[in-house]
Amino acid sequence: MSRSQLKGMGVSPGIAIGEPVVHETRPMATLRITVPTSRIDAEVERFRKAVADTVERIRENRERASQQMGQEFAAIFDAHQLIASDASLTGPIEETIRSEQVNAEWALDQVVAHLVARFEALTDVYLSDRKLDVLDVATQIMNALHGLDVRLLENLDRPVVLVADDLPASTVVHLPLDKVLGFALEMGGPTSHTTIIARSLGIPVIVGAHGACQAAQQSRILAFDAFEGKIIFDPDPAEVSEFQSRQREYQEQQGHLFHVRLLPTVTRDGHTIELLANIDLAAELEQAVQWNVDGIGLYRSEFLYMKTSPGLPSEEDHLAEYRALVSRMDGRPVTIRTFDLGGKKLAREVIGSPEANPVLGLRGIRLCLSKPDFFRTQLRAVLRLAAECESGRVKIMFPLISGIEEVRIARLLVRQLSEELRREGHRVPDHVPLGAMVEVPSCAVMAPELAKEVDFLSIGTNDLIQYALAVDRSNELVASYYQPTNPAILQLITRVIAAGEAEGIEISMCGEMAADPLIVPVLVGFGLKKLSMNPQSVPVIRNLIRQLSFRESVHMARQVARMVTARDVEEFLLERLAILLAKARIRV
Amino acid sequence: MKIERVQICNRLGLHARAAAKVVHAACEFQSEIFLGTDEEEVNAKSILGLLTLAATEGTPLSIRASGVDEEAAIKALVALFQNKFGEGG
Repeated sequence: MSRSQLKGMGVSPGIAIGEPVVHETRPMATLRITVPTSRIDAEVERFRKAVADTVERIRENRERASQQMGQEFAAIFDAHQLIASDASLTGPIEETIRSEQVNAEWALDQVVAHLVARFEALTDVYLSDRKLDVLDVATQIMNALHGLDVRLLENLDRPVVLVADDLPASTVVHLPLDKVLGFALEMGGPTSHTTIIARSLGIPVIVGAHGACQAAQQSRILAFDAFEGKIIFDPDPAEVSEFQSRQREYQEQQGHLFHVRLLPTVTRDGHTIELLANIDLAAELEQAVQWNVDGIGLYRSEFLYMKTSPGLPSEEDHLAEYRALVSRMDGRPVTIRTFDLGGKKLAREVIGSPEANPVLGLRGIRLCLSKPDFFRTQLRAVLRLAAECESGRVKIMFPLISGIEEVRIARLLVRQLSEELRREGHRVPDHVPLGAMVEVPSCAVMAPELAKEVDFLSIGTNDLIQYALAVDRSNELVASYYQPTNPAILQLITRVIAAGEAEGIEISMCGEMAADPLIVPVLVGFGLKKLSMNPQSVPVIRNLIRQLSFRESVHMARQVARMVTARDVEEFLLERLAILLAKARIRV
Repeated sequence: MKIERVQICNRLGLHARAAAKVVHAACEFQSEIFLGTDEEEVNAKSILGLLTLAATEGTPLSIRASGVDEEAAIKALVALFQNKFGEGG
């Protein structure tokens, strides 16, 4: 028998078996260690070295930031550098090390706790938020004292199953992902960036595995099945062979799906659907090519920012990345979404102070428009790219549009930048299709009018559902209220599709719903012709669509449109899918 | 010794980036420079001191400098405050 088991939620398919490596990002309890008198000077020296390293690292970050974003952005690093070397921080810490004969970590913890308490005593919310800067710097010094475990992960030399409490995407992009057999995380969710990255690379992920870090620390082997959300610590030989045979089965099934890659995505009665890819990383592009997608429906440019974070990518960085993208897509259309760094650390640094409610804050097009310099850099690069390609092939999509004014301002900006590029002697495109992402319910409501002002619309269902139903899916207490089949959501979607038909513009969907086998049949019935999804889902959805009848789907969509609860819709769709799968023997 | 009074006139008060500018400006001078509200006074060359000063928008502050270059120091700091730390907000 295995030593222990845990349940989690599988968010990226697959099976992983291997040696666990634990990475905890939450603050570890700091231990008080008595330092002998003879070693006190060395301990103070160790602390000074950690401070010097921290100051140096902040200085490096500042350099990059100031080159790429200007002085105003770099100022936050100035502040952090000053905090790290402030005598009223380092002085008391050294004093504590000497007078109490303790380790530097303990002294740091004590002094910082004292400082933070002083900030918390300040009543003004802006003032008490200043503790965040102090804590940020303290964490950096603590990491320097610990010799920084992130670097350890970056240098993985053997295949492992990574177990973590939480893994920020900025850490994940620096990992040698070819060495990661799977992720078992205590936090995170189906739409977290880490999940998206892993899914794009075919790495299995389980989230919500509370207690995994502790259990893994004492295990030599860990096996998990992301289909069932089951994790086994130190499995016995019988369990290992069971996992291995399931792993083989999954790989074979993937092999079968590979055969459908060159078949057209068309229903039994000849209705064609375009399958596009959502792309986050270069590695995903290869998968998109492999699964023979009809184009890129959503290129999330954020990772370019994360790669160069905390500096910002230059116009040439953007252009080089986009050029690689279009050349790999070989003539197929590519839609680039302008940056949406909502709620991220970078955004926090850009805005200068944390927002109480970042999801409703400065993100998407609002962030783009509030940082015209960043936006300008990206738009110029896309325009230059578009000029190099066949007309209309490169499209620009603006995220989080909530009103028509934003589209007008963005369009004006595009026109101004085209002029500017022309004056500088660059080639500029005659026409670049501009589109809006429908994520804010107001945008779906205004779709008939909006459709007159854009060249295409793309429905981003993840945010649309979250905003329309007022639910944060990563909050376990309300996660069950996140219902893609809620009739209100379906009505918003049909409204957008109808607006597109009336104005003769393209409508696509790029949220997770577009890759949900349960919902795809009804989306096809609603008249949606373009679905954009993570490349891994493409073969499954193509296979599914090839079993559908468009006429039956339209009929089904009419029935669904009359239902008034999410549950009714879901049960109906489940029943229909079960019939379809039984007929076609598809496994999804 | 020289004292001058100023007011915080940006919305976020003396936040981290503004405080960094004050420290940089103060460190240009040999004089000892202090910033105070009615209740407390902190060293203008220590960012942590400045950050713990409960100075929100509209708070009157006194700048006190003593040393060989106290005149110039006061002048530079007053200008920085009047200029809203160069951020126009």
